[in-house]
Amino acid sequence: MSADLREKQLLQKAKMGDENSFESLILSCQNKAFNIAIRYLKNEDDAMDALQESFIKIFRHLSSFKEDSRFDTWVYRIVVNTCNDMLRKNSNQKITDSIFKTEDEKETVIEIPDVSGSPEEVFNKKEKTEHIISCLEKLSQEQKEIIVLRDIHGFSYEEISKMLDCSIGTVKSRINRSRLRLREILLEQNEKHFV
Amino acid sequence: MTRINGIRRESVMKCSEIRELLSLYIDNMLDDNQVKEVEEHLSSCDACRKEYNELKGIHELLGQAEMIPVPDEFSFRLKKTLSEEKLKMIDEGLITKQPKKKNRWRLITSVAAIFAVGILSYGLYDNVMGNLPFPSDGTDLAGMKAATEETNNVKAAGLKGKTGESESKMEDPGSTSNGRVVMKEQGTEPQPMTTYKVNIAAADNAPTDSGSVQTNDAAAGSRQSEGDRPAATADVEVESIADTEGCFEYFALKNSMISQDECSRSLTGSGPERNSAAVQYYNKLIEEKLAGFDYQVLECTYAQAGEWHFRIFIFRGKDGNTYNEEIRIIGKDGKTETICSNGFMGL
Repeated sequence: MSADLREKQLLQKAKMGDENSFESLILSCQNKAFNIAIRYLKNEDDAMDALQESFIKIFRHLSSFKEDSRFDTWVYRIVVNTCNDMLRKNSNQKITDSIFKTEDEKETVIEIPDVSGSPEEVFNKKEKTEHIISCLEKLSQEQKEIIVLRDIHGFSYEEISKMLDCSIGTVKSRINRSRLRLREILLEQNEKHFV
Repeated sequence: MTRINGIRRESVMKCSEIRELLSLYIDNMLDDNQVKEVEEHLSSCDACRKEYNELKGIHELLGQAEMIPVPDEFSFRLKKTLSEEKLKMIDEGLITKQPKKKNRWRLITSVAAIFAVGILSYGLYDNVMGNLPFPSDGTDLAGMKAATEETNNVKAAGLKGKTGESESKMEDPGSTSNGRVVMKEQGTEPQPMTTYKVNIAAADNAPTDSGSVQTNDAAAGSRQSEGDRPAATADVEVESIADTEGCFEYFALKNSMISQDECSRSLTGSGPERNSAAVQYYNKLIEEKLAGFDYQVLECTYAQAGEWHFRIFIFRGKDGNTYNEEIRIIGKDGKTETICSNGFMGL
């Protein structure tokens, strides 16, 4: 049976209140949804809360899902909205350990990766990635959101436009501006370190 | 063409335009003409090329960010919350309770449940309660067979008392790959259509590739005199089906139990009733698939259109890592499909 057909069947049962079918339905997008939430909320506990709240909302409003679009895109959209709601509510964010914190608590500074082979690659790729991710916090929420969805999770422009409920033109310009801004932040950090 | 700070005006303008296109270029969102224009510019403009390389590098590194697995406790937490939410939704009238199965199914399943209680209680004693009859470590089922055989003996003895006419006997377990309880009327010829209750089936009773189930021509069956007894009691219901192997009862935690006569009918039918042999078959595939895993099958349910859904809890993977996560394996058309959100399990 094709995955689509199976998804349709699970959806039908879940709409009638079958929790098991619902759990099967969300199983395939649970991991990605959790990681989206973590990037937004920066800690596992909040991400789990957001994920649970999202799934309950989805379960409750399953009947409103129009089956002409992809189910997982709909799920991620709800997760994004839930995360944004939580961020707005918790404007005095509690201080918790970020999963991106480095061990020695100092800000690591690395050069912007230069594929042309420029000098001084200080850290390995993983640490570079983590540093770049930590710099996302210096972006505006809107800029960070688009980077998370496009660059970290690889959603297409069309998917992002559905998830954020905006036009593809808006997605295009936001992605470009956000990446340029992120690059500037990394450059600023490099300058601070080397001056 | 004017010069500004030594740079041709045309190039300055073009750089700012190109800059707006760099992200789209990285994401393959430009048409062919635009791609050509960007590439031509990048080949001659060091500043733009540097910026492009840096943006591309950032994009690629972010794409390699590690995915963090969903914590183990989440699924239990979600399950509990979903159940609570469902009750709320029923109270609010948003959903109705699950439609009741047809009366026929209810009668059969409830009757089968009574019949299975005796098996289950013995199974509980032998620590097989709640498990499907295929242990994950692939140990021999002899102990379980013996348990079932003894229960069958008890039933057989009871049956004998009830019928007053027939006598039951236990077949020599060694004579078949399963232990079988054969209900036989003394002195009667084996009838072509008989209900059996057998032990946990052996692995060689997988359905054939045509979808039909192996049948056993051995005339080991006989017909019970009274045909109206419910199958789930100590009596065995008379059913007119072909003598077959591979019919067995399986145990589920929820109300998915199939009665003996449903099971029996399944082996000759071509429709969804081919359940028992199918479950046995898929269990075998699951065992092979999960060789080396420490797991427990939580539930086996029959969905529509011939699908068997197995809920399986993975304690440890074959890599030795602890997962404590639930997966699902769906069996249909002789194949299995695994639904697993954790990509690290290797499933």
